[in-house]
Amino acid sequence: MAPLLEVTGLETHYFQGRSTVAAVRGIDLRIDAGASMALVGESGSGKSTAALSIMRLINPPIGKVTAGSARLGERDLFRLDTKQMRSVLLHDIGYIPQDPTTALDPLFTVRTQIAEAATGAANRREQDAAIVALLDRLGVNDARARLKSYPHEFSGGMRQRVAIATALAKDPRLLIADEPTTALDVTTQLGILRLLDELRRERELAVLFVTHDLAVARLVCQHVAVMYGGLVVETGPIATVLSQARHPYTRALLDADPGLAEAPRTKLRAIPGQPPALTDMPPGCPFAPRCPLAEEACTRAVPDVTEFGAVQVRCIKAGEAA
Amino acid sequence: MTSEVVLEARSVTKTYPARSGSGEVHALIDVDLAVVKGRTLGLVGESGSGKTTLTRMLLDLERPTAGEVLFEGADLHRLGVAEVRRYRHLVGAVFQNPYSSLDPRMRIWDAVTEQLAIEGTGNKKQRKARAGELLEIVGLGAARGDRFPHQLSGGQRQRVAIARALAQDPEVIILDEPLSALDVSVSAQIVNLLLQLQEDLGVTYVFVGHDLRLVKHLCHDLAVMYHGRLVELGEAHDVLTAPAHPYTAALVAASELTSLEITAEDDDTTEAIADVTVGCAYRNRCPRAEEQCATITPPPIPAGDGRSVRCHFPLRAHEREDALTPPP
Repeated sequence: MAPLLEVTGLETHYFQGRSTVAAVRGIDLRIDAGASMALVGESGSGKSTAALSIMRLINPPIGKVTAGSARLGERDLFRLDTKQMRSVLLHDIGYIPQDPTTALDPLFTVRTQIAEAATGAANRREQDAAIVALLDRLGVNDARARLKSYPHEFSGGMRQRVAIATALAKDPRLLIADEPTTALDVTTQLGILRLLDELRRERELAVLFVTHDLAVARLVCQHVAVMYGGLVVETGPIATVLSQARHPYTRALLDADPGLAEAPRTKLRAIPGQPPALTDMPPGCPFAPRCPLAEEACTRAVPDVTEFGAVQVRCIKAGEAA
Repeated sequence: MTSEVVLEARSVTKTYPARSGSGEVHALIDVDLAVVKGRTLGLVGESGSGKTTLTRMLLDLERPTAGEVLFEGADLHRLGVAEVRRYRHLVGAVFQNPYSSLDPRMRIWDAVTEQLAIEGTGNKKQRKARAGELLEIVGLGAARGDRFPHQLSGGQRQRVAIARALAQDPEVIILDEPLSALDVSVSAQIVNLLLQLQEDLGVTYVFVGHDLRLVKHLCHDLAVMYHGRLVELGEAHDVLTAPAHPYTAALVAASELTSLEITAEDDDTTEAIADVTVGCAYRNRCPRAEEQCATITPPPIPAGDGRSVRCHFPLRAHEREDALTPPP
C-alpha cells in the first residue's frame, strides 16, 4: 500500500540577504493512513521547517523549497497550482500549532473560527450541531453555551482543544501537529495526547507529530524520524530506535535524560557544545563536532544512509553500535 | 542536621483585584514555606498555581496582602536601608527567558560588569577581571564577552544570566523555569552547571520547574502548589515517588508519560470552583473527595518523614506507590 504522505528529498532554504541558508537538507518521510510519525529534534534542526514546507507555507521572501516532492495520496503537492493547494489545505491537511493563541483570531467567536473550517454542513443549524458534537468529543464542557465565547475566555488547554477542533472540522486525512502540548500543563498535556491518539484511530488519520520530547513521541507515535542539522539522522519504528539507538546523537539525547541519572544531584551526561547554526553548518556530519565517536571521515562528507532492518541511520559508525 | 532558614514565607496571602472589576483573585492563600541554606527547594504546580507569584514575594518584587516574608528571620518590610541592601545583595534571580532578561544593546561584558558596579565591586579594571572570572565559572569563557546577546545561543545566554546572578555573590538564587526555553542537549549542561555551583559555593536554590524529571534530579525539598495553596511539602524524592496528596499523585502520574490510560482530570474538563478560599480547591478533580472537602479547608497535616499535606483524605503509605502504576 502506498503511504498517505510520502516526502522525498525535501530541501528548504531560507533567504538571508542575497544568499540562502539550508534549513532542511534532503529528507524522506513516509506516513501511512492511521499511523503517526514523530519528527523529533532541537530548535534549528529543521523539524518545523520540514512540516511547514509540506504545507507549502515557506515562500519568498522568507524562503523556498528548493528540491524534492511531497505526495499526499494521489497528488504531488509541490506541482499543484495555488488554487488546488488552497483546496488541499482547506480539506485534506489539519494543522495544530504549538501556541493556539496565535492560531485563533481574538476578534471572532469560537463558533465562527471552527465554522470556517467546517464547510460540509448544509445549513447553520446542522453546522452548529456538528461543531458542538466535535467540541464535546474533545472534552469541552457545555460546548453549546461556549460557541459564542472568544478565545481569551478559554484556558490554554481549552484553546488548544478549540485549535484542534478547527483542524479536525474539515475531516482531514493528514494532521500536522507542531509541538501541540509544549505550552500546556502536564495533566492537560496527557488529556490532549490521549485525544489525538483516539482521533487518529477513529478517523484513520496520518499524523506528523513535531516534538522535541522523546517521551511524548514514544507515547503517541509508532515511527520516529530524528532530525539534526537539517537531516534525518535516524528513522524507524520508535520502539526499536529508542531501545537500540544507533546514531550517536539519538543515544546522547537519551543519555542526557535526568530520569536515567545514577542518583539525585549527580552530573547528567550532557552533550558538550551546541547544535550548529544554519549559517555555520559543518561540511560533513552536522553532529561530528559534538560526537564522541567522530573521526576524520565524518567531517568530510554527509554520511550516506545505512539500513539496519527497518531502521535507517546516517552515520558511518552506526554499524559498530547497538 | 541543623538547618538554617534563609528565606521564609509566613501565612502569605496575595490577592489581586479581579479583571471583571468586582471581587478578588486569590493568587496565594496562607502559604508557609522555609528556604533552607545550602539546599534546593523545588516549586511545582500548574500555571496559575501561584508558584511564580510566590517567587516574586521572595524576591520582594511584590508585597503580600497578608502575612510576611522573612529574610534571616526579619520581616522584609521592616528592614533598614543597610539591611535591604544586604538582602538585595544576597538574593539573586535567573528567569525563564534569557533573551528578555538581557539588554540587547549591551555587550556581555557590560551586562556582567554592570551588575558588579551595582554591587559596588572594586574599580573598573577589577570589575572587568571579576567579570572574566565569572564568565569562566559559567563555562562561557571570557572570549565571548565582546558579543551581544543575539550572537549567543539560548544556553549561552542562560549562562550569562547565571553569571550576572553570581556577580552579587548571592546566598540564594531564585531560578524561575531557567531550563524551559532550552533544548534537551543544552539543558543538561545547565543542570550540571547549577549542581557544580552549589557544590563549590554552597549556594541555595529555589527552583521553579514543570519538568518533574528535572525537579526530582535537582531538588532536595519540594513544595507542590495548587490554586494558590501549598498542598504538599516534603523531601523531593519522597514526594515524587510516593505522593500523599491526590493532586501530587495526578501530577506525577501525568508527567511520567508511561501510559495514555491514566485518567487524570484537568481543570478544563471539570467544573470551576467559584471561591477557592473555602474547602479544597482540588475537590472537583479529586477521586477521593467527599462532602467535607467543599466546606472545610484542609489544614496542613503531618504525613511522616517531615511531610506535610493539605488534604482530608491523603493517600496512605501503602497506596502511594500504587497511584503511580498505570493500569494494565
